[in-house]
Amino acid sequence: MTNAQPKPRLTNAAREALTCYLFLLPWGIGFLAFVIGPVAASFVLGFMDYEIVTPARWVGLANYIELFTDDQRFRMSMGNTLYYVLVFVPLHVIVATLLALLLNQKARGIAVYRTLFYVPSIVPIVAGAILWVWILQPEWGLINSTLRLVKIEGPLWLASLTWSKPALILMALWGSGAAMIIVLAGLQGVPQHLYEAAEIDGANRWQRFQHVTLPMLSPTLFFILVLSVIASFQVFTTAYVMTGGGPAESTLFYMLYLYRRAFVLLDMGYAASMAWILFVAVLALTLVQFKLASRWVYYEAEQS
Amino acid sequence: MTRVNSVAKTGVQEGISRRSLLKNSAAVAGLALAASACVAPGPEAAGDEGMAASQEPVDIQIWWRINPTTEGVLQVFQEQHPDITVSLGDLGEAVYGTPKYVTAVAAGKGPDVSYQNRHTFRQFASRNLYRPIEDLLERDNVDKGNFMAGPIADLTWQGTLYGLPHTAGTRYFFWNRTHFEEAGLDPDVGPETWDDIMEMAPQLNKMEGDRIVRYGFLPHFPPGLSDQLLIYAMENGGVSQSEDGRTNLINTDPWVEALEWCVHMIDEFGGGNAAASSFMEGFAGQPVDPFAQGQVSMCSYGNWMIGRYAKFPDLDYDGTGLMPVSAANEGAQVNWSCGWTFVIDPNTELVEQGWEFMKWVISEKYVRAAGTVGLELEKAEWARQQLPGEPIFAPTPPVYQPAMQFMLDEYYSVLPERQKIMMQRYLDSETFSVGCGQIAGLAAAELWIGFKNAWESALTKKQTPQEALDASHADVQKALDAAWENLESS
Repeated sequence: MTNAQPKPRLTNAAREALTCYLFLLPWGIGFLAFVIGPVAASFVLGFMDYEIVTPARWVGLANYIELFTDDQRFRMSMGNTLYYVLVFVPLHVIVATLLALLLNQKARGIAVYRTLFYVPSIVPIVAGAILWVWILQPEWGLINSTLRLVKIEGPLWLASLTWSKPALILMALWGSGAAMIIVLAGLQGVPQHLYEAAEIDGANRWQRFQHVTLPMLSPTLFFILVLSVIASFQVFTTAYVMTGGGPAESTLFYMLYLYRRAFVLLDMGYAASMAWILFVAVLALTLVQFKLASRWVYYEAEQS
Repeated sequence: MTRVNSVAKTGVQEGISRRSLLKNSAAVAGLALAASACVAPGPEAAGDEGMAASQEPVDIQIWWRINPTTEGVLQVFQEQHPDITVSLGDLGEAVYGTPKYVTAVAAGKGPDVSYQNRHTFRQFASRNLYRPIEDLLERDNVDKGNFMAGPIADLTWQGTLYGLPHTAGTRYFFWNRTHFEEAGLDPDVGPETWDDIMEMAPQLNKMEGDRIVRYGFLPHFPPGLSDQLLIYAMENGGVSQSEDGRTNLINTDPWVEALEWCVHMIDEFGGGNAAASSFMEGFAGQPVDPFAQGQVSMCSYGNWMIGRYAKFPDLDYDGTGLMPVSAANEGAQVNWSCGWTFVIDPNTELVEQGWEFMKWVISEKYVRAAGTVGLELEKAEWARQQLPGEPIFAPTPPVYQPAMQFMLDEYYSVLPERQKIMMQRYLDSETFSVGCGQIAGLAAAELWIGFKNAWESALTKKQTPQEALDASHADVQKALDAAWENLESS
C-alpha cells in the first residue's frame, strides 16, 4: 500500500483554461446563435426563393445568375457604392489626418477644439442626417445661403442627379471625428527623438512630415483605410433617411437596394445572395489591401 | 365510422373500460357546467385557473399610430370594454410597404391587430399576412354594403375580405381664390381640364425679375410625395394594369403623355426642373406647404387638407375632388382613393378581442371618441397659434357609412359653408374613385417605387418619359410575373 498524495484531477493550467472557457461560453453561445447562425442561414437562403411569409423554395444559383445577368439595379447600386467608396475613403483619411495634425498643436484650449471636431461623430446618424437635409436645402439651406453671399448659386444637392452623392459624402466627412481621434493618438505615439534627429539632419517641416510622420503613422492610416472601405461599402442610413435612394436612384447604394429587396419587396433569398456577394467583394478587397500594405505601411517592430 | 374525440381516444389507448370512461367524462362535464355558471363566457374560461384568468381583462396588442388622439380613443375603448386592455405600439413606415409588420408576422410575433395602408394591401393579403374576416362578418351580421364600395374592393382578394377599412381619402384639387381674383379669374370656378390649367398657370405665376416667386401650378406637389404620376395618368385615361392583374400598363400612351405633360408644365411654366425642384425642396419636411403659404396658386393634393388649410387664416381657398382631365379624357370623372385599414394577425389567438376592437373602431362610438379628443386638440392648437374665430374641425372621414353619417351630422354640418361644400365634393369623388389596392395589385411595392423612379428620371431629364416608364414597367412586370408564379406554385 502506498501513501502517495492523490493526484489533483486538474492541473492549474487546465483549471485556468476551463475557467477561461466558462467565462467565454456565454459570449460563444451568443456568437453562435446570433452571428454564425444567421450568417450560415443567409448563405443557404441565397440559394432559395424566400418571401419571408411563404415557405422557402430551393432555386440553386438562380439568384446569383439573375444578379449578374438580369438586374440593372444591382449594377447601378454597385456603381453608386463604388463611387462613394472611391471618393469618400481617400477624403476621409485625408480629412482625418489633416484635422489630427491641426489638433496636435500645443495651443491654448486645444482640448476644446478636439472635442468640437469629435462631437459630430457621436451625433446619432439619423439626427445628423435630418440636420444635413436642412443644411443642404437648396433654397435656404446653410450651404447655399452662404454661397449666395459670394454670388455663387449652389446646386440642388440632394435633388440633383450630379450632386446627390457628393452631398452624402460631404455629410459623412462631417463625421470624421472618430478617425481623427485615432490618427491623433497615432501622432502622439511618434517618438519625439525622430523629429529631433531629422531636424539635426536639416529636414524641413514638409520633409519631417514626409519621412517621419507619415511612415510612423502608416499603420494607423492603414487601420482607418481598412475600416473605412468596409464601412463605406455598407453605407445605408444616410441615403435611407435623406434621399430614399433618389433622385432617380442616384443614391441607391448597394445596402439600400439590398434592404429594399429584403424588406420592401420581401425577396429575402435574393437579398441574402446580394449580402454574400458584398461580403466576398469586401473580403477580397481587404485581402488586397493587406497584401499591398507591405509596400507602404511601416511597422517599427518588424524593421528592428 | 365513429369519430373519436381526444378524451375517448386517450381512454381507449390506455385501456380504460368504457364504463369508467363514461363516468370520468360525466364528472368532467359536470365540473365544466358548474364552472360555466360562475364564469363570464370567453375564450379564457376553462378550469379553475381559467376562472381566475377570465376575470382579468385580456390584453391585446395593437399597432397603430401613437399620438394623443389614438391614446385618447383607446382609453374610451377600454372604459367601454372592461374585459379588454390595449397595448399600443407604433406601426412604423407603412404606406409603400410595411416591413415592421411583415417581419413580425413572419416571426410569429405580430400584433393582434394592426393598422395597414391600402397602397400595398393586396400584395400582402395574397401572401396571407392578414387573417380573412369573412367568418366574423357573417357571424356578427356586419354588412359589407354599409361600407364605401372602393375600400371594400381594395381589401378583397379572390373573393375574401382581409380587413375592415377605417378611413378613406382621395386626391383633391385646390386653388387660391385670392390669387384667382388678382389674376382676373373667377374664384368660384377651378380648372376642369389640363388646357384650363395651362391657360391659368402663366396668369397666376408671379415674377421677381426673371425668378418665379409664386407658381401658378406645379405638378410635383406636395413636396416629398412620390406617387403624383398616378393621378395625372388617370386624368389622361391611364390604367395601371390589365383587368386580370397580370399585365402592367404604365408604359402605355396615356401614361407617357401624362408624364410628358408634367415635364412640359415644369419647363414651360415652372422655370425648369432645377428652379422648381429647388423651390419645392424648400418645403420638404416642413409643417407647411407652398400652397398654404400662398406661394403656389393651384395644386393637386388630398382631401385631408380641406381641414388643415383652414388653419391658415390668410388662405382663401377652394377645391374639388373632380380632378382636371386631359382633352383626350374630357368629361370623365377620375380620382383614386386610399386610406387606412385594420387587420388581424393570421397567427393571433385573440381573434375575438381583436375583432371586438375592430368593430368598435369603425363605428360611431369611435367617431364620437376621436371627435371629442380631436376637437379639444384643435381648440388647443387654435389657441396656441392665436388663430381668429372658432376652430374649424374636419376630422378624417370614416369608411363605414353609419359612422360617416354621424360624422356628417356631428362635425361636417357645423363647418363653415365653403368647407362643408368641399367635404361634400370629396364625398362625391369617393363614388367614382378607384381604390389604390386595385390599382397597385400584387406587385404594389415595386409599382410605387416604379412611379417614383419614372417621375424623377423624366423630370431630371435622365431619361425621356417613354424611356423612364419603359424602365419602370419592366421592373414592375418582372415583380408581377414573379408574384403570380409564386402564388400559383404555392
